[in-house]
Amino acid sequence: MNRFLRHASLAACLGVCAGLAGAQQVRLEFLTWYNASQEKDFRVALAEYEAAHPNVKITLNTVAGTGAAVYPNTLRTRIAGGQAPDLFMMWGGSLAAPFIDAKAATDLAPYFKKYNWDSILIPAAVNALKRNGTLWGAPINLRAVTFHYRKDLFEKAGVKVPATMAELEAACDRFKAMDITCLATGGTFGWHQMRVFDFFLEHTAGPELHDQLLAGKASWDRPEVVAAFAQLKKWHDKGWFPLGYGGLSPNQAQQLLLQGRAAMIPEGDWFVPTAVKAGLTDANYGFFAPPTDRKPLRVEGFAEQYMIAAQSKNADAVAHFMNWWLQPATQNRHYMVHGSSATQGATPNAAENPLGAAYKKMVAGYGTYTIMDQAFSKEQMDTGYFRLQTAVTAGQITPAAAARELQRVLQGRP
Amino acid sequence: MRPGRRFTPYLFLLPAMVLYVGFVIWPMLQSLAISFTDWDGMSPTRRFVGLDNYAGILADPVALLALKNNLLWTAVMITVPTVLGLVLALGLNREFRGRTLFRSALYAPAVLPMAGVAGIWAWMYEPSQGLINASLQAIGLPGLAHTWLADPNTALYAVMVTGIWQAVGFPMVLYLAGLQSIPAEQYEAARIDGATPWQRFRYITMPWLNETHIIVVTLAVIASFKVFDLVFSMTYGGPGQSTQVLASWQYIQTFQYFKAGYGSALTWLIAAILMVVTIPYIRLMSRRGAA
Repeated sequence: MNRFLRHASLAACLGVCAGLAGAQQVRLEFLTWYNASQEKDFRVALAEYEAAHPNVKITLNTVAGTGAAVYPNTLRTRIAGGQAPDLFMMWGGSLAAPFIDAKAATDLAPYFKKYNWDSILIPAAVNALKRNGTLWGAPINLRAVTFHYRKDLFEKAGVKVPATMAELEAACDRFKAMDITCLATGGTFGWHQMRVFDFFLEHTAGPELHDQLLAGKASWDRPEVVAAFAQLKKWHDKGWFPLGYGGLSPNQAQQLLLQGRAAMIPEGDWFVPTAVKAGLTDANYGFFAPPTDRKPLRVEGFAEQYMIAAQSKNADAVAHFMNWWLQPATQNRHYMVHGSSATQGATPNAAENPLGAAYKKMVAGYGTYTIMDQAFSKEQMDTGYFRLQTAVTAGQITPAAAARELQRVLQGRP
Repeated sequence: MRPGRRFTPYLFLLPAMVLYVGFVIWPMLQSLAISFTDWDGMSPTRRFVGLDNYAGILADPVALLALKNNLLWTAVMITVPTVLGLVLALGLNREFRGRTLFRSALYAPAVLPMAGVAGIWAWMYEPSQGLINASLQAIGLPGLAHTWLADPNTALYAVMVTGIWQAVGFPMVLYLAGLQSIPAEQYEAARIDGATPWQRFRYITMPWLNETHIIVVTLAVIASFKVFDLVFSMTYGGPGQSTQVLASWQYIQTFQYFKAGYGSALTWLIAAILMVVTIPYIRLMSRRGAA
């Protein structure tokens, strides 16, 4: 009898214990666009979290390579199929809007309150993500786009880091004469061209008007926009972009700089690890805020965020993970995953990552203007903004006609 | 025949019909229903908009450009690969050493994955290091070097050249099969009667290949209106939408602009055009099968 009771109680305990363990086990899925390097670094962070929380298992899936061109499609299909990942990465502004409007994301206000995220996140990054006053995501970084350049080519050409637009254009003339591409850009997907045109617009319109244009509070059919199109045409005609840049991918454009065939490229902090891995060092590689001849000097910026899917049955567990990830100590340990952070006080380790630290230090001194594709819908970007840039550089329409047409396309903004 | 036996064939067809209705007809009807709504592809709700999406196609300059590009693509694809395929088939139908090797080599591009073909040709068109411009410079024609995929005036034609390279093997194989079905006695009799090579081609070969022509041209039209991979991989519809075709525009509308309703309407436009071509083709093939 005793033997029977012993076995019975052991069986009962095993059943109950297994049941409890099963009930507590949480499996989460996280969808990102991390590249191979970021994925590798992030898996280290995930292992750390899972070791501290053995009941949580996070599956990481990444759609690398084409950025906003393909990633949203994958996410949309998952959501439409009722298979949304619990946690997903997203840009801000108009790129996030369709997911918010389709009620595919969770309102994070309760979690901001519960974990007091406002006290640890950079306010500008938080504010950049609000849609109609509501926070549907938590910012993970605040990106800043500058010009990355080859110091060795600058030295060879005998030019200094330009402080004015005139100096920048003089440097381009010099590089052109030496058969070196001045500014590496890849037109496929459009975002390199977008950064260049946005820079021209900051130069021609100035900070105040530029912000008004992006906010839809000023007409695009105006001389400053015409001047930006004219400047784009000038750079195209002078051959300061790569030959056939419209058909190059951003990766091909990056290779031009990495191989020393282009002097500059418009990229953000994420490019620093790429340059370092390609063998560039502080001796032959650097970055600077492109001169707009305006005060204050601003660089292009945008925020990225983590969002919790409305379909997720484990929103609390996801928020718990996000809270761990957003903490300054975690961000400092894993800074290289994003090469940037929206957490106050998070900095790259200067000893391990001197160029990353230098980049953060440099951009900290500048304000930002919103990147165009976070202000307007992708359709408006494709059918207006990018199409008109191509038409102007191909000589199919004048800069004045392009400004008029752009105003017409952007009038129907969401 | 007993009444029960009349239904026996249909019982055998039933499993296939269930699969066909479930996986082909039902999704098609769903797509048709979506085309009458403003659904974004994600939201739990959708609004009936009647024929607005179809009317929108007429007011969409990119859709009209895409249709024009499809028609141009079709015109090129039913002529160039067809003629080249016929010429190659005529050459490769003769006995000569290495014939099998030539046949395999010329058909090989047709079995390559489209994304791979697009990648190969995108690098060949690369303006500063690509094979095409480098070759033009090497043979003393640097003036013809061009930014092929970056220029809206040449991008579509550059992609078409890739399409021709990829497509030519298929009509060649069909024509080879057609040529081998022509009785040799016809040529012998014509030769005895003094027919010239051109007369033998014109009055024997071409009439015997009538059905093959129909198959080749019909399949070329279908493939032309379905073209997507090459355009999407090589130019992404650019520069400046200049290489958009209906399938790529439909994809972009549905998956990138979150306009599943409008995208479905574009899909049905493509389907309607293809039905005009394929229904007579299927009827012809059915008659041939019955004969």
